[in-house]
Amino acid sequence: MREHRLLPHAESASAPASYARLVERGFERALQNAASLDPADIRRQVSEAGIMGRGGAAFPTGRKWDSVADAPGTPKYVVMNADESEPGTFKDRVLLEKDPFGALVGLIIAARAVGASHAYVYIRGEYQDVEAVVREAIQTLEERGYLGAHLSCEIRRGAGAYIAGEETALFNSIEGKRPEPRVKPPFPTVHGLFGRPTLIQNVETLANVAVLMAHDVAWFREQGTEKTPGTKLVALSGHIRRPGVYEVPFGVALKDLIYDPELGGGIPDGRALKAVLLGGAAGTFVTPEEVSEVQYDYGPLRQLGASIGSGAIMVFDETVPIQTVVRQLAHFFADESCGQCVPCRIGTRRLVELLSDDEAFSDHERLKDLGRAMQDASICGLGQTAPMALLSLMDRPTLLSTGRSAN
Amino acid sequence: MPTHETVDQIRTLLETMPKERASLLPALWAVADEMGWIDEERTKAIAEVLNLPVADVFGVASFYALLPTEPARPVRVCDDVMCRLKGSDALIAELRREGIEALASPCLGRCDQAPAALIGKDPLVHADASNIRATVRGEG
Ligand SMILES: Cc1cc2nc3c(=O)[nH]c(=O)nc-3n(C[C@H](O)[C@H](O)[C@H](O)COP(=O)(O)O)c2cc1C
Ligand code: SF4
Ligand code: FES
Repeated sequence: MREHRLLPHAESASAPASYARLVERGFERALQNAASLDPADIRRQVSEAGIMGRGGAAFPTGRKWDSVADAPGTPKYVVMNADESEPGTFKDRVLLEKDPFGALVGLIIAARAVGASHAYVYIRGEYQDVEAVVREAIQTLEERGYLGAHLSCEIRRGAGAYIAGEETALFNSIEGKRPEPRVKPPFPTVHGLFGRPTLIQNVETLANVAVLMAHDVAWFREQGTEKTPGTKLVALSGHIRRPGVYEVPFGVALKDLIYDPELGGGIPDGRALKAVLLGGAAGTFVTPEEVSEVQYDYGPLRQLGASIGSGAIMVFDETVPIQTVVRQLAHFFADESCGQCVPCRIGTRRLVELLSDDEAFSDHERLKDLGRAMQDASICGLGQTAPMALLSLMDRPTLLSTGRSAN
Repeated sequence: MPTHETVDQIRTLLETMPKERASLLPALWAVADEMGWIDEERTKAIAEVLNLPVADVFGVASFYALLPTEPARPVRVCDDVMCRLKGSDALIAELRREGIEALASPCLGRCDQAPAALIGKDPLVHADASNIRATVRGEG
């Protein structure tokens, strides 16, 4: 069930940022393959492979590449989003640590496919150990001529702001402004970094491009489902025997992710599962029954009102009062809201206040109204999705029953 | 007003950077990395060297939680959802009782090894009072 496309086999002896690794992983072949193709052919293959964004929104990657390629204006930019600050999410860290070339090679191929001459890697300031590995890998690529005058590549270090991971906030951060999201449209594909056409992708999305180009579309689609080909990195944490990052094909049973001895390994200390929060702080809580039934893929999860999001899988055992978790999430959003739009600035604080007593959880109408106002009127995804996890509890009253206390 | 000495020092530090707004975040990091922290005087000096309005530089610098503003290396302990499951709020309280000024941090991206901490720029996983103490005191 565990796959090794994006994550190299544990026994790989070469250093993660060495030239030997670039060759061993087939990424030099991927670069040469892409160099021999027409940019339009690369984009077609990315579309045919069915790659969707792995940063949370699952937007079709090839379509985004076409928009950037077609957009007028130069220079064009490509950006790797390695800001990874969604609570419960750490798959980009592990991927960059273990195999920095995947995402970087994907970035180089993306630049060729859309006609970009400048690349940025935006990596959160809490990951300076990872940044060092990425820096070394960039150097290797420069020495081999894959980066250089034709394509510059600069690392930008974030400095502790969750909102900076939102794509337009990230552009502002690189431009030396406050990392506050911009109103969309215009979209980054036409008006992005420094006002130029810009392609921004998540680390894992780019790594998928690299493995695709090292093989072909048919190979890529051998894993996963018809609608969602390929593999996914998931980050398992909380009350789980084997926390960590695992690579699995889309469509795997969620219960296998949690209980398979090669994956999560089940709930420790003889306790029962209470709930799983899928997709990060703005994710959806699912019940043990839902866990035992659903496949980990966009379609089946959508039927539960859930999504894969960032790939975070946060596991809570029966001792956890979910109200407490929701309160912490509300605090997180109130702290991290950039404050420039009212529905989010006020709404996130209002949520914190409302949730201060347990009674409020039963006032569904009030919570739904507030949630709807935030979803409809916030500028960016933070405000729009901040009430999601809370609202997911409205349909799952069993999760609000009092937890068994830990002894 | 920053002293000439500070301005010169920062000018040297930022010598190779283009003198433009886009250099601001790398400049803030360069000063933090090389000089240890960014105070008001240094912030003004950065503004002068990059030719940016002082208010803008303050506005940007204050947005980011991670830029050190004091000589002591900050001790951050994650108190986000997954680390709390592993007792990080109690850990923060314990450190404060011991006189270690632990800052509560949102998710540090190491939830698989909770509780997570960040001492200066260095991550510390499976953090507890004794390994944090050792790291903080060990460096004198
Ligand atoms: C508040 C907020 C934070 C975000 N943080 C990240 C992040 O840390 N990493 C990331 O890849 N995408 C993040 N995103 C999504 C990006 O805006 C963008 O959709 C993504 O980088 C596109 O890449 P993809 O299509 O490859 O997923 C965030 C979005 C929002 C609204
Ligand atoms: S929704 Fe929130 S985080 Fe997003 S721009 Fe508005 S205030 Fe800022
Ligand atoms: S919740 Fe603490 S590192 Fe993620």
